[in-house]
Amino acid sequence: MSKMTSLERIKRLLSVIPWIESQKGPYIEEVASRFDYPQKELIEDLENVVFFVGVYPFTPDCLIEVFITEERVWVRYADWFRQPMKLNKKELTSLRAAGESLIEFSESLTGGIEEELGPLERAVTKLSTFEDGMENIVEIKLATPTKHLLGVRNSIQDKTVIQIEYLVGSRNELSTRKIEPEKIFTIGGNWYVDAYCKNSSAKKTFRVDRIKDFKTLDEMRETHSGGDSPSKDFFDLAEFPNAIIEIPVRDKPLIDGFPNIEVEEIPGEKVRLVCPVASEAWFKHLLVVLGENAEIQKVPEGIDGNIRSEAANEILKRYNA
Amino acid sequence: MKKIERLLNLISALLATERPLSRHQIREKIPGAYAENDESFRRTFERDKDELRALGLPISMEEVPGTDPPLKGYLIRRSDYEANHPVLDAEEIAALHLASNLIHLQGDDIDSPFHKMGGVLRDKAPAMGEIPREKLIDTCMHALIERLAILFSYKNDKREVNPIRLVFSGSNWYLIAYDKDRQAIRHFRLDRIEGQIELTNEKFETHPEASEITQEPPWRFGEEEKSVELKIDKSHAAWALETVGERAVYDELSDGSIILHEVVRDWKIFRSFILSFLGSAEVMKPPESRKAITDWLESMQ
Repeated sequence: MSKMTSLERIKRLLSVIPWIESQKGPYIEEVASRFDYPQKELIEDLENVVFFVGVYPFTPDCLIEVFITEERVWVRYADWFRQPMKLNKKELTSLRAAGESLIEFSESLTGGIEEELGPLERAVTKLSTFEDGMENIVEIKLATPTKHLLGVRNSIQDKTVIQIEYLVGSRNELSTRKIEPEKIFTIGGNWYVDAYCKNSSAKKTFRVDRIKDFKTLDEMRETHSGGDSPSKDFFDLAEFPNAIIEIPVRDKPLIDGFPNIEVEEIPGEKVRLVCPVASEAWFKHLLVVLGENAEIQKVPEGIDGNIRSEAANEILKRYNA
Repeated sequence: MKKIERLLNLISALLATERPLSRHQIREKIPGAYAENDESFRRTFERDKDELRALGLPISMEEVPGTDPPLKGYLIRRSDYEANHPVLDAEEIAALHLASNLIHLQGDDIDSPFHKMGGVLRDKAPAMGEIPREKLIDTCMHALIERLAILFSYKNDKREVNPIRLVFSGSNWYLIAYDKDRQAIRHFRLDRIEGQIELTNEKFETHPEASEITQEPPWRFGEEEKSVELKIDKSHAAWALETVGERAVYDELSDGSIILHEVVRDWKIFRSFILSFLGSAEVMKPPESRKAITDWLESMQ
């Protein structure tokens, strides 16, 4: 963790002081870990700051007493700091929204609440009866689970190897892969899975709704080095070359299904779209959706300038067959 | 005196007092914290106060009793400051912490509320859903918490609404609100709100339960209704059915391809869906929809 600012330290200390006092000599290591407070800074702040905090006239009986041994710490006489600060309404709202969203997601995934969610349900119930029964003002609906999401999730829990038939977006064709799922997540209404792909011996991100077939294999997982989450790179749009397209303002709703496009208003009732082009198939899809009114200002290197009419022709062939 | 020490002593003085303290009383009560020069003291004190308020400290400003002319004084009331949230046991806190790590708004300080609850001893789980932070979220949240009516422009119309709930669904944030002019509940997509949201001073009472945001495909919402049959190749059939959801109506053909029967009320959105299959799908019926697609494509040749 980078060095905290004085304000961050104050905020943290307002929670740390009452907790230490209530615990009657906790281990410093535990305090540091619970409050994510680097141990060295924690000791320094307790010894050199909190030790000098008090109320007028700052006689010994009006100062906070801090006593530190090699491993443990005591705080006394901090009567005005006997309680941490209140949770504000925004914090309560966010906690409740996260809890309710996870419960709802889990129900929709498995058709019932899992046993391990018991404590979460209790916590959410307690939060919801608080604050004069304030209504649930924020609701987060995660993307609807797709057919194979439960299977993928179970494979993460059971550490199994699965074989999938997968529709590859960039080539628009099916391929069979053996993967070891590690983490599921949702972005832009879609579910993704980060997995170790045995075919390419690398970590990859797959869209769960593009998994057509799924079977669990009777194989052990391999051990392979950790490495970064591939989704980091997957969504690093900066590495894709950009296309620039101008469309009439009224056509803006057409780009709804393309969340990564940057939109900039320009004169003449038009908008300029900066589009990170991840694959040719994706770009063709975008162009045929936008239609003839879109003015293509720039295409990435290596992509033919006539790509839109080519794409339109490819589809028309099917209708004219 | 170091800044962190000065601020902690200032909080102590404001929490320990029962009567509001004037600025000058505060300087006397924390010797060595502030400059003797009145102007530089005032500046430092004002900045300290703003910074502490930004941290969430509920500093009240009240008249100091017995002063004439009346003087402004400051204090932190214990009832405003001290935690009174429900007591959660360690297991409940850990479960809530996991949920907050899995699902949270981008840029939210996830840990701060947990520090107030005594911290958590648990590794952080990787996020399962990091919910994008629309620029208007914070204003909406504020209006919802304080129950304030708001004004904004939507589809070139000025709206005055009482916000009821913020919902994140699919990949968008929606505001469910009572539209005062239309006297009905309406759903607004946050990214379609034009410009800023203006907060009013008008408080409102709660509204009856709002209708749900559904997760049906977007082309089923609109005015003119038609039934369209779309043939989708085997390679793309499973994906198409995932996208349409559980209410998909379709026939499976012997070669594994499907005929999807869809009720379409927004043709433009459905057209985009059809085109996402490129050459792997074909509109079969009705003829005018088939023609609409070929006309659209021919215009690009």
